[in-house]
Amino acid sequence: MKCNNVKKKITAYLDGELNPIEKKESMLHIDDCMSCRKELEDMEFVTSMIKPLAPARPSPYFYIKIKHAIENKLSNNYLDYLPLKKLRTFGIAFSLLVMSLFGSILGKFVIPESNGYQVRIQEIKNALNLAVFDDISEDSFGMIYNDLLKEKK
Amino acid sequence: MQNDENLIVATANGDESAFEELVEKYKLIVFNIIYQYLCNNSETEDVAQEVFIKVWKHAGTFNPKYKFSTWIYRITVNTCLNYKKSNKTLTKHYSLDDIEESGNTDTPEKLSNDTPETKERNEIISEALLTLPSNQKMALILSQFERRSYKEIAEIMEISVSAVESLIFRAKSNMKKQLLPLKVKNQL
Repeated sequence: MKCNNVKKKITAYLDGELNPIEKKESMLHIDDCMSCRKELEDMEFVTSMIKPLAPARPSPYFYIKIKHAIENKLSNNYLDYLPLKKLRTFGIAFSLLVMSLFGSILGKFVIPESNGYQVRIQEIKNALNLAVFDDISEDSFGMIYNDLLKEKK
Repeated sequence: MQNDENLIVATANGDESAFEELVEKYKLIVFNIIYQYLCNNSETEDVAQEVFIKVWKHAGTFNPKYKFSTWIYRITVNTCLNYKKSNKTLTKHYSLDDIEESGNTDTPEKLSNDTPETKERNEIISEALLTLPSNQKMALILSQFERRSYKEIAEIMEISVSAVESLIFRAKSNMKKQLLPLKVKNQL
């Protein structure tokens, strides 16, 4: 094995992560190589220095805080947790129902009146035709015309 | 006592007591990984909370073919790495004196009987750890502090075993550059 390869394997060697063949080859090389032996000593020193910081532990109310945070998230984003697709479909169906109900009510009370209006217009037209073809005095025609105008209003 | 896999399935079905059991069982592990990674006492509990909220939220996506411990380690690692990305300027070295003087009961409790020399040594080492790139540092924490094998670390970090080996080698080489000069000066 070459020095470079051995040096790259030294950390794995110290962590007991080399397979038996790699381990044997590395040990043989290190025994004969000053530079790699120095690298091994340095890495042993570094590894011995890397100790965890004094352990810390969560506050006694850690779980309560988590539960509270989850509840907060739920209340802030409750729409995320609702079956929105079903809600949308339901919303569209409900809107269509309301619109058709509104339309039918509108048709019942408003459209007959407009029909009546059309009928009266036709009556006026008929009356005007009569005025053209019949021999009616100017005064009579004026009276009919005024009556029809009042009715239109 | 139920095993972890049953507990997470029960959590996915809305069983709060199962979730509480998982929190109680894993909170110290999760907490310490985050603490070692951030070297920051005040932010550790927030990040730990975020990890358990993710566990609760994604319980339904847990794949029973993996170990639960690997899954929660992975969530913890990813939460830490993402937290570091989005809060680069927030990370700072903790000060034991600050923690002791603050008396803030909202911050995690610290279990420390360190001598002044040990405190100083810890400060130097954590300073050196802080300068490591995120993934090198996380691989080192999982290997040195959590005693996870390279194979387990590879599963947790979703990389190959040789990539783990390389990360740990580079992490220790970087640490060596910082710690050896101090050894020469007899500061360590």
